[in-house]
Amino acid sequence: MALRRGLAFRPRWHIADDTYRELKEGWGLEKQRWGRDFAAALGRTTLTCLAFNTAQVYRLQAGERLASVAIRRLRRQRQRELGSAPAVLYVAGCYGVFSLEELLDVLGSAPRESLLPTLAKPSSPDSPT
Amino acid sequence: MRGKVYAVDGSGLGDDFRLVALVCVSATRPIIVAWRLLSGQASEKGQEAAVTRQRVEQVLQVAGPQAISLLLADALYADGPRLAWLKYRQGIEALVSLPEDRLLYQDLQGLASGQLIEWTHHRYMRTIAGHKQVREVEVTAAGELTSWDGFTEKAARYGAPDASLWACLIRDVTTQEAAAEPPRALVSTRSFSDGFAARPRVSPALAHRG
Repeated sequence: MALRRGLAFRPRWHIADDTYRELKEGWGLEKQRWGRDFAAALGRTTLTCLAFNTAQVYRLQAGERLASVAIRRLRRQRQRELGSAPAVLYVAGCYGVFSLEELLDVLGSAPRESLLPTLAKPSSPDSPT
Repeated sequence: MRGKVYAVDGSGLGDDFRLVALVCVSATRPIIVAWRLLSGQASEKGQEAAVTRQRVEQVLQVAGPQAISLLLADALYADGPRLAWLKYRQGIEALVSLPEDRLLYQDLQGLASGQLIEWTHHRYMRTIAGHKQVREVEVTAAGELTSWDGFTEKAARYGAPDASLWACLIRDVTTQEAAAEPPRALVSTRSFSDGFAARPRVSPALAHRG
């Protein structure tokens, strides 16, 4: 049915109503400037866009669940394979997150001992999911 | 990013800067996926359309060639070659406001005034700031339009010699004052069953055809 197909243009208003208005009136992007030079404006805009997106994600149902979990527990749950001190490498506009063991291995100095939690074999009924 | 409907728009930040953002609008909440801060001459209104292509390419590069299915934009972005590039180079449909001074707009008005296309009447409820309002619009649409040379010529270069556009006129007839305004137009690389399906900002649950 025609009426159910559309509303195609309606979401465009999100960019005016829910994005720019929120950035300007909520996050003060226009009035509270950090300086007149371009680098300052770019830094302010980038951080604000990232903060805006983070807030948007936390306003989702899944985000609300995440928000109730403290960061250390979250890390234990989500990043077992990365260990407690993962390394973030940023090269040429791309980034990757590695465990220190993996990083040493890539650099040709494989660690003799790993502090990563021992993962059970896949065949084991106690395998972590 | 699960949503595939994006909108692009720019907004001035004071007198010196302009922010152009490509926002995913079909997710539960809008997410800014790519942005660019413009300054100097590039920040003047009208110049921002030039950076749209780069932002789209950026998203496709990171999220894959199927990441965007429909791009929504205002009249500032109504650029024939760019619509052709989106559709035939990137596989992205576009739905854009059409300015009144465009030939395609006048063609559509000519078809409507010559009664070659039919106006349909729609009545629906909209909610503004918590208040419900009945709104009435008249809509007419036409497909297979080929009078936008910038679009058809570029599409032909991309291997689509028979490319055409769909467009509609939407007239607010809720009040006599509103009805006296020129109708608003939308143009798309994609076909819709009628103009009402592409209309801006109405509540689907409460819409009904009059």
